[in-house]
Amino acid sequence: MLTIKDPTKGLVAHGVSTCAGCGLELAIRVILDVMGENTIIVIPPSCSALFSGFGNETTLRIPGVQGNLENTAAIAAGVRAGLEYQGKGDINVLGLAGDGGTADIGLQSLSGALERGDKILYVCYDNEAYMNTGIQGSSSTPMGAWTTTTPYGKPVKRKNLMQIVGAHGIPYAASASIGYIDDLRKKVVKAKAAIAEGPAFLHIHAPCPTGWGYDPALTVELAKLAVSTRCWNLFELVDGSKVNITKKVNKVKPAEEYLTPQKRFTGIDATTLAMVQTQIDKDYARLELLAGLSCETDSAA
Amino acid sequence: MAEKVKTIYGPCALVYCSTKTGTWRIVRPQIDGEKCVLCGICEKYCPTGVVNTIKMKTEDKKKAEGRVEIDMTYCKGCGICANVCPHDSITMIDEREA
Repeated sequence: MLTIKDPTKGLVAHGVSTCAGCGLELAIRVILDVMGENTIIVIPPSCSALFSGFGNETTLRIPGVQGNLENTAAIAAGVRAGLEYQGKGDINVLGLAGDGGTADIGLQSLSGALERGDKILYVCYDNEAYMNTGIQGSSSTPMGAWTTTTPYGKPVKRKNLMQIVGAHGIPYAASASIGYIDDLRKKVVKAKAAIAEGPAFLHIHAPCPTGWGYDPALTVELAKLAVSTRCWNLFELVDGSKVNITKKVNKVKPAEEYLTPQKRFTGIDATTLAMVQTQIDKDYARLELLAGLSCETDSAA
Repeated sequence: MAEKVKTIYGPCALVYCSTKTGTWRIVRPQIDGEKCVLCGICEKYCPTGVVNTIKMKTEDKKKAEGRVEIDMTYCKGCGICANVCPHDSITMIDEREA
């Protein structure tokens, strides 16, 4: 049985060895606060592994499995199947992986679980690189960003993970940000309700002071700036087809405002910056078009 | 049903404990009680979850009374609370001067 050495107010210990100003730490507190004690968590080796602890110590008060980098969704699906066999279908299964463990290495197992319709909640916290192993670029790293594997800035654009997930037609998928805690909380509530029918997916933007090179105090401010510059859009995908933009930005700021405070974008030149801005505008136009289309199908039905 | 497992294979964490992350701190948050309106935004955005807003019931409903407590055993001094505060009531002061 779990021995509680240091009591806490939530399900996550207060003293966790994540960096000061960690976006993931803020996200996991909100997620587990909503998911509740009746949850089993699956964590791959990543920054989130700091929460599953090492040796005989843990910083989570719920049971969990530490798997491999590529099979978070597969383990979660297995745990789910086991629980259902034992008649314990009321226990939630949560997979929590980073962008590398989701968009790169764990993509095939995630796709498999989504296709089978396993009733799990998969959360991808996106800090836009492999931060735990020393800031290597992932397929979620934005264009122009410095990482140790893209020393002159990433030359290509990032993968659109939400569209890949949405293509599976799962009951609920949403992108959220730690800059908008109430919105994130609402989405976790919705996702928790959706896993009664099938898989749910959350893509959470979690700034990383160490990897991005900014003052830890700016974590929340940068997360908000990413949304107000449309570098990160907040929306929901219901049943893979209905797009719902949850945060409409009226006064759009230029992408430069979000990029300048970050050291990883110091080497960005004017051409790349223009490309980044064009890409942002294109992505948003596409998203708005999809949202408009789903409104039309709603009124037609 | 399978028999209950009596042996635990592999490493298994059975102690729930915290690291004393407060020792990392180089700046600490200081709250100005005059400016603070107890909105609770700092509590909402604290990554370590150590900020507690304690509100007390008062006769005058317009003025909230209470205090904000920060557990310095775990506060890493990241400064997010000072940054999100809408009334600038939190300042980060040097740990050596505190």
